[in-house]
Amino acid sequence: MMMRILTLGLATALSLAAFASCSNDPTLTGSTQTGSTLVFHQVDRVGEAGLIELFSAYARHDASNRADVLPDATAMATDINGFATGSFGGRSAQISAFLQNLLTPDVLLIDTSQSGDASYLGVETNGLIVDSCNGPRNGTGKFGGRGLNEDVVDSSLGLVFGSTVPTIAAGSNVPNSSGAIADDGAEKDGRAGRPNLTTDNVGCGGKHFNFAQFPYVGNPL
Amino acid sequence: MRDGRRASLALAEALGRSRAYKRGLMKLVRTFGGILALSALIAIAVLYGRPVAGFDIQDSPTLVSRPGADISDVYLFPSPTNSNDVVAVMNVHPGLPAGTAATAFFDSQVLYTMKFDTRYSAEAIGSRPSENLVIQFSMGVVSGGTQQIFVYGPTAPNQTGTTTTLVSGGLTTGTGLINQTFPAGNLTVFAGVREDPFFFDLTQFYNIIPDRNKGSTTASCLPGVGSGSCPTGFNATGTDFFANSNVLSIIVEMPKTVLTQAVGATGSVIGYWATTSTQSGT
Repeated sequence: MMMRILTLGLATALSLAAFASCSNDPTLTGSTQTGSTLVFHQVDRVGEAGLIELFSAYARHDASNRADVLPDATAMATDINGFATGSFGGRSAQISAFLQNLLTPDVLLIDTSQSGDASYLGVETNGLIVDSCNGPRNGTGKFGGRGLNEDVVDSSLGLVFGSTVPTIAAGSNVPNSSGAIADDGAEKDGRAGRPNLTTDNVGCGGKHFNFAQFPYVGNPL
Repeated sequence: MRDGRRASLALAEALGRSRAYKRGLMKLVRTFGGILALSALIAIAVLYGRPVAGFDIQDSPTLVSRPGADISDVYLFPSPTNSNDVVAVMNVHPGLPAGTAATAFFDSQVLYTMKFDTRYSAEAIGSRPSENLVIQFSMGVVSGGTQQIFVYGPTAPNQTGTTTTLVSGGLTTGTGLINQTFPAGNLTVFAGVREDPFFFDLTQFYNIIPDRNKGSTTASCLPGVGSGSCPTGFNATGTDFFANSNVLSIIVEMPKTVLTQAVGATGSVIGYWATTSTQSGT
């Protein structure tokens, strides 16, 4: 009996020790290599919300998914410019240039010196994009990042099809961009008989976030 | 004893002392495993039989065949419960139907990586970002209706860019099980099924811009640009395509100092993005 208890105790101790500090994932290590020597190749990446999906045709997605973020200022910016100034977007060269500088590289930025709620693109725009789902946010809106309940779709649509860029350009902190940008009159905001592309009219009210307790994202349905 | 799995087997050996017990256990595992496999196939059939793909679902042929590598959204926000912390989220496998919480698992052949550039504000425009801090996750083989989660880092990557290797010599910071919260160093980690927090009228988006959809080459469609049957924009009342959908979430809460005091950290602006990688690239 004593031997059984000792055996069980030893096995448990070994198990806990292995779990706690020095376990390699056996699915990645293989039989002859250690995990640290295996090379993995990127197949997808995401930073901002739906950047590739909005600006790039499906045929371009795989290349973008596999690319590093560093070349975004050229490859992704080319896609943004093609869409924004093309027959669909119809925006001015000034607005397109602002969008390219604002949205590339495809990463979320936060400023840890700022307090308050997350604010999508808040670092780059000095908190000037007001989210339609969050309502009044705590703080200056300069923390950046992306909050769970932010309506990033409407924010993005407003930038591309609405009057957001002429409204915020002068006060923004976007690299390689300074000063006011004129309204090009090419908005697609549903007014004056124009098509509505600035809001999908879907809010965050149907989601079940739990901001009182980690992990905050709603329980599975 | 190099890994947790071998340690688990040792523990099982110590506990399983009769052949009858082992036969019964194996039968139970096989039966339960069969149910899991069937459920997974049904879930995949339901998801990928849908007429339209998600905003970032099925984003390439590779991701169609490997949905566990398909990143839908990432988030980074101040902790709602601790002002000293930040929370990073990486969602994959979008479009999981409701009711699949017990049968959905991460892809054990995928390396999931959260990447941070903590020198962003000090780097020159045009030569940023470049990750100098990563947190990696690998997932064990599904066994007994659960899955082990392995956490590596946060630490400097072995290399930057689109190829990567396990950091810290492949040694974990911590391990836990899917759908459970667990510590990993000074991180609090959850990896498992959650409600998809994203909301969007995707169906109408694809009506307006069809060539963003999987496999479609139809030109974008807008009055004055496309044909006479083009939609006039989004509907007055939108429909959330992602209502009643789950995702697999990797959620990390950590002290801000993990980022601000990382080796090489400069300034207060930090960049964040996430990647998925496989050994084969497929």
